[in-house]
Order: sequence, then C-alpha cells, then structure tokens
Amino acid sequence: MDNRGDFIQRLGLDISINILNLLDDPSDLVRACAVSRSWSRFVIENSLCKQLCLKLFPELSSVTHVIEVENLIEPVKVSAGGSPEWERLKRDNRVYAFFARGLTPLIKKDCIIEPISASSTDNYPDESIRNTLEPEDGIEFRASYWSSKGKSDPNVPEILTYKLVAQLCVVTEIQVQPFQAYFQYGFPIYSSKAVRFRLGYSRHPLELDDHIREDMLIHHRWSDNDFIWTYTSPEFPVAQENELQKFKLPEAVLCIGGILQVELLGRVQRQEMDGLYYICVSHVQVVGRPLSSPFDIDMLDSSGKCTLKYNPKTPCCQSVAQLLEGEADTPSRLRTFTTRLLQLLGNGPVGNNELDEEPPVL
Amino acid sequence: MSNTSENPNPSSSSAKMTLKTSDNELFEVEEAVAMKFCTVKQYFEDEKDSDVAARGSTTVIPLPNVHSAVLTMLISYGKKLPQSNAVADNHEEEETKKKERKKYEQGLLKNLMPGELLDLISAANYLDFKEGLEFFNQALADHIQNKSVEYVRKFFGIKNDYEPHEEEKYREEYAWAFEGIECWLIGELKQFMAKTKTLDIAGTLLGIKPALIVASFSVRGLNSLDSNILKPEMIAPGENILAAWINAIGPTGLDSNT
Repeated sequence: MDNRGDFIQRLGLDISINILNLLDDPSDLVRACAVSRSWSRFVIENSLCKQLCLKLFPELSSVTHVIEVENLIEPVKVSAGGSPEWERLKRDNRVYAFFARGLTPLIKKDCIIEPISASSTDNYPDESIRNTLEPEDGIEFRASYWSSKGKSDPNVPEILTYKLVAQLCVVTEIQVQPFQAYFQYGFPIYSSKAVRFRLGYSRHPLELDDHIREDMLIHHRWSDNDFIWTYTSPEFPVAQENELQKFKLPEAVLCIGGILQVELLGRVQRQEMDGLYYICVSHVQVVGRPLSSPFDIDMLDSSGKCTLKYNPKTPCCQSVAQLLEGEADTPSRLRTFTTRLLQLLGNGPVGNNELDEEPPVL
Repeated sequence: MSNTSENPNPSSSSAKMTLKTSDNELFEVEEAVAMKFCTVKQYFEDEKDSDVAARGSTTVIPLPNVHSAVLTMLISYGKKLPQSNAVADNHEEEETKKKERKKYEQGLLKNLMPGELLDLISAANYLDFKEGLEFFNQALADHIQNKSVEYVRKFFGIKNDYEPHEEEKYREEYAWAFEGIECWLIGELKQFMAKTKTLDIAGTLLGIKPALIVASFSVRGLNSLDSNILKPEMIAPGENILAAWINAIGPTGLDSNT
C-alpha cells in the first residue's frame, strides 16, 4: 500500500473538504475515520461531522453552544497529558455524528408522549389533561379537553407538565388550542391570556406508582426542587380563538431530559353558571426533532449532563443470517463476508456500478 | 499562469486554441470548450488586452501542471457538456441526450484507476474547470459513500495504521455506522437474486388479421338510444386474464379462478 490514491494527502485541504462534504450520510464520515489515523484526524480537525449535521438540520446552529461550550453532552474530561483541544474536537465529532444519524430526519409534530401532571382539574377523568393529547375537539360524542378548576381571581395561573417522546429533543415550536365550549350558551372560549413554556429535566428519576401518578394528573403543584429548567421561553399572548395556535420559539432549543411545562397565565373567561374563571385546553402539540430509538441518552447526574448511547436491535442482521448459510450475528463475521464479496466482485477500476455486470454467486 | 517569454502574437477571433501540456504535447481545442477551463480563459483574456495584433497565428497556452493523458480526458468531458447556446430540445430529445451522457460518463469512469482520478481532479482544479471538478469530485465521493472501510482502504491504497483492538473498540462505539453497510450490500444482492417478471405493453396495433373474437357473453348489436352506434363501443380482454395475487393462495382459493 503506497497511499497512491490517498486524496487527502494529494489534493490538499480545500478540495478534500469539498469531496467529503459531498457525503450525505454521517455513517460515511464515521467509516472514513476508521480507514486510518490520518483520515480520522482530517475529519475531526475540520469538523466535518458538525458541517454535515448543520447541513441536515440548520436549526441546530442555535444549539451548538450546548455541546461545545456548556459541555453538557458527552462532557470532556481531560486526562493528564492529553490535549484539551483535541479531546473537545473528538467529542464534538462524536456528538454531531450521533445527532446527524439519531435525530429524526423529518420534523415530528407529536413530540409529547404522555402527560405528567396538571395543577388542577375539574371533573376528572372527563376533563383530564390526557385529553390534550387528542387533536380532536370531541371523541365520539364526548368533548375532549382539559379544564382547570374555577377561580374567582383571574390571575391564578395553571401549569400542565408533559413528558416528551425522547430524553433528548430539539424543540422548535409548541402549539396550543384553547377549548370552545360548544355546548354552552354563547360558545365561550376558555383560553388563557398568555402562555409560557419551560424545558428541562427531572432532578430525580420520575418513577411513580400508578396511585401517585393518577393523583398528579388531577392536581399537583411541583416544588422548585423537582425540576431543573434549562430553558424558559418568553411570554406569548394567546388569542381567544378556537384554533391551534403556533408558538414558535425564537430559536430551536435542545431539551435534555425531555420534560415540558406549559404555563397558562391569566384567565379571561367566566363560566356563566358559577361566575368563576376557568382555563380549558383542547390540544397541546410539540414540534421538533427527537433523538429516535435506537439512539438514546443516559443522564449522568442532576447537573444536566448526559452521554449518548445506541442500543442496536439488529433487524438488519437477521436478513444477513437468512441470506448466508451460516449465522452472521457477530460483527467480525459480517466483515469477513464483506471482504469475501469484494474479492468476488474484483476491485480496482473506478466504475460506479461494479455490481452491474457480475451477479455474484454465493 | 502566463509565461510571457513564450508568447507569440495573440489572435482576436480564432475558433481554436492551442494548449501545451507538461509533456510538451500540443492540443488544438475549440474555443467554446477551452473557455470552460477558466484558467485558460483568464490567460486568453489577459493576452487579448495586450497591443500586439496578429493574423493567422494562434496563442499557445502552456499548462505545465497538466499531463497530456489527463488533458485528453478533460477535453473529451468538456466537449460532451451541454452547450450554453444550444437550442432547447423537446422532452424526448432531452431524455435521449441525458441517457447518452449518462452512458458516456459511466464509460469514462469505468476503467479509471484511483491515481488517474486524482490526477483529473488535480488538473481540473488547476484549470478551474468547474463542471469537470464537480463531476470527478462526485466520482471520488461515490467510492466512499456507502462503501465499507475495507473497500475504501483497498481502493485508495490506504494502509490501516490502527491496532486491531483500537479498531474493534471504535466499531463497537459507532456500531450504527457499520451495520448499514452490510445491509446495503445485502440489498444489492437481493436485487440480483430476486426473480422478476415484466409485462411489456405493446400499445395499439392496427391491421391484425384475423381480428380477435369477441367473447360470447359480450353484448353486441345496436345501441338502444342511437342506432348509428354499434356495440361494443369499447372492448377489453375478458378471458384468461393474468392478475396479481399473493403467493400463498389465489383470489378464490380454487384451483382455477375467474
């Protein structure tokens, strides 16, 4: 091997970067790092995984500081004698590669997986927070909405807490639809005056038995200690309209921990029957990119730092086993298979579809 | 990169230009093609600005960084590019031209060794030949895209300087990047191993003799509203029809189906 074809050495910085930037799949860049040490150094030093990640998901540009500056994901520990700069670059490479592959390629509109609690609920379970996950106003013949308890003071806020579909999620927009009571005279709309959102993580793992869980859905006030909010949005005014109102966050936000709180500020609508102010919400939706399984994170401690992990489920490898006669469940088997295949097909000429002419016989 | 000592008189409007390669070969190239090499274009324009006028002689533009074998290919590729002043073709002509170009491009890349590909990229960059650079860059990237590490090492002639345990650890850490490649190969193989049948639709055929027989259960005779129209107004095959069904069982479960 004389490195005659090593384009990184021969063609210089700019062209080599242009060539590698033509690759759309982060797996290609990761495999390029495995080719040799010099290739790995080239990819890492020139932040190619970051460039690809930002190309795929431009909104992540507002999130890079969380990775690089705040050191929250795969936090770098500098070993004695190691170069901190290099360790950071290696870490960035890993995080951006995982993000490029693990974040959902299409923006998801339903990033909430389940409700955690409501600060108050009228007529549980008919008007439970669970209903806010249903986009329809009515299910069968029953209206689907959450209602707070009535208050005479219109300034009493309400808080809805939800769990997101993944522990790591890039959130771009949150949508809320107030509820219009179509069965009441005058069709009142029980919106709030304004809404504010918080994203963060739970200080302690949220493992609750069913009994406690139900209580929280009905009526729960969190203490300041329970959650750590890494992001608080500005206050958005809510229109008193029966519409799915879209509240676009000023910048995409990375939620590590997967907890969302919707703060409904200020009541506007009195119920004629009892003269009390209520807030009712028909639907809540979170728009963003979650880290989709088999990718996930492990929260390291209550500081909000986490590491990325990958839990392979191997559905692909099963088809390999079917095609080959033996079992191909270990990675090294797959490698020998690949090498054998390449030998069969021959190698050297540059033609693109080398599989074109010679159907391999196995 | 102009070499004024070697500069004979430029001409103002010759249709061909002469390029001299590093191994002293001369290439006569049409201006339209040569102008795609922006370095040449720049050189030519610089020369035009000078005062010397000449008739019947052409400038020889030196390309000391480009070998003749490489220039041959680049010129050949440049010629095949769609000309900017060409008349717009109709859709069919465009499709044929596209197919031809694709075939030509595949042929060009087919027997190209990696070292030659690098020479082409290097030269295209020197000549500032944007379309050529784009094309050959992509051709090179195609040898990394979706290819296994072994393939890349072999193709580019890269020595693996990782310790086995280092490499193993890396592959485990990024298992998701290495799984796909084997599956992609399986996918390609499956295409060959799958048996497929294609139906060729011949279209409308006129003048078939004898004419096909209308089935006994088809209506014939006069249209009840307008006796000038004879039935059948429209007709399609109705017996011995081949339709799709799953392998396990036919549509009715009988040995034969309607």
